[in-house]
Amino acid sequence: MTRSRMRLGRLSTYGTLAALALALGTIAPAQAAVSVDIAGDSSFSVTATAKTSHSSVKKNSTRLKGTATLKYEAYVLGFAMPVTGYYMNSFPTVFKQPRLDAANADLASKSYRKINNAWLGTKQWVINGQQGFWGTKTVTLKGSAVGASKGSRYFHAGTGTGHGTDANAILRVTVK
Amino acid sequence: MTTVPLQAIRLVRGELVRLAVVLATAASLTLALGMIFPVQFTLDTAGYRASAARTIAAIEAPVHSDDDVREALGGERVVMGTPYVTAAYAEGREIQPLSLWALSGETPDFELTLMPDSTRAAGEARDPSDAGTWIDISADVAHALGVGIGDPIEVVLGPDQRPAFTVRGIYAVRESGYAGVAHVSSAAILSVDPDNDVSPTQLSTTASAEEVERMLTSDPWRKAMLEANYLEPFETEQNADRITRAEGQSVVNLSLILAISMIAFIALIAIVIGESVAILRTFHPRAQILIDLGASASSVYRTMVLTVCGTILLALSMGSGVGTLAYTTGFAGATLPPSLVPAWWIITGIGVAAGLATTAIISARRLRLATR
Repeated sequence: MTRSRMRLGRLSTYGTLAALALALGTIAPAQAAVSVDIAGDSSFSVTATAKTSHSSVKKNSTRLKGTATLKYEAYVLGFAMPVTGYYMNSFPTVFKQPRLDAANADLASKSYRKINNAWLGTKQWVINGQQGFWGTKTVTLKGSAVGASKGSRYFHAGTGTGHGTDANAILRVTVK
Repeated sequence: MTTVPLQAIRLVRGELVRLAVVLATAASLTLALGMIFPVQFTLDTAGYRASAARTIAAIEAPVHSDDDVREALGGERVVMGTPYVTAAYAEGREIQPLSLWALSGETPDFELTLMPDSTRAAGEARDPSDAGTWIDISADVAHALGVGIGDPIEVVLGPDQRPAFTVRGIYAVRESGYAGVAHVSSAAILSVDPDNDVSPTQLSTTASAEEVERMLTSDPWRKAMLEANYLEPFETEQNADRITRAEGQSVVNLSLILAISMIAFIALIAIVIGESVAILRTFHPRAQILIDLGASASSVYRTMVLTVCGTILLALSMGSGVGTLAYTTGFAGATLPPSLVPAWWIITGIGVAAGLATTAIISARRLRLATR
């Protein structure tokens, strides 16, 4: 083996080690801490929008359509990062079990399940999921439901965190 | 006068040190980076794969009705729970969204949940009759909150309701759609918040989907479901489908990480082979001097092979051990799932085997040339 070939071999080894160290340093922390950083860290952001077709509907009559839109951004020093986005939307249980009309992201279940919302202190019809992405992602979940019993509760869209933060949005809907 | 083996080693002493440092660094970096995908994939799917449940379904049942449901399903194993979407806090740190399951019944069947015993990463085996305010958490929760066994965790159960539970076990699992997952007993929730609605809404059982559908479409279960605004036909889900979905989502979500993991493992093998070849090529002209001075060629090369092989074994083992710090410290992942520990050392072994085989082959060729 000539000296120049040996030098080249060593350079490629050191270059590979440097690339591995760089990849580990950038990807590993993002993979390890996605769930915590996505909503709070200044480099990561998520915004949630809730939209409904009506603010009030008649019992057993009009179908209320609800749309949840979540926009995620994850960048460090201008570089897109691999992170996981969590999303959900929920209808109050004064509605019959809602129907999922459209979703552009992975879901944990294809039907709405009755789950206790700890912040509201009540059970809601919930559909949720998670998806990994690099940099930017917009998730849209559309559902609809018919009013079952009279009452006024919240339609919710967000990451499933506390209401009143920038990652969640709620709209009051009424069944008359 | 020094012996031939010592003289042979002295010829490439500096190169051997370099080999050891390079291989240890390569092993720690490639394993830490390359195991990101297996660790994340295992965490995403382990709970579903290890669960003994066959069918999962929504249900409307009163508290403490586990025996009635079991009887209605012909004696099949059953666990029921109330899922919460919530958050947990410990010493100023938080995790959300957290999927909290309040397991009903006096002796919940943990093997039907997403935290079967084979996924336990820390803590003792569970006592089903434990009526305390325990909480079993996933590794992500422990990592995010910086807690261990015996530490208190505050969990939001309702407006102005944030009771503390004591960590009993940590499990290397995830639930699709949530950053963290935790289990408590519904009795524990009622002991801290008597007004909380812990009537079960989810059922996991060893019964078939057909048996569950048959039960749900017969009274009093059907009546309870309709009164709770569920729509017919009531849906059931087979655990096999959950596994397929979790695996599919994990692979899609982590496809780029998978590619990087594979590149990292290939880089490890390439570096081990390349460095083994390099040190033997460096050694060859120097060994020839010893042979010309009367040393036995086979003795010189045997010493070299044993020394290089020993260095490879030691360096890769040490580097591999250092690489595990990426997971035990939480730098690259919440934990190293128990099922992946053997895989970690098998990959290390493949690296060692590649190095040993390369060294043996190159040395044999060089020895043949030297003795011609």
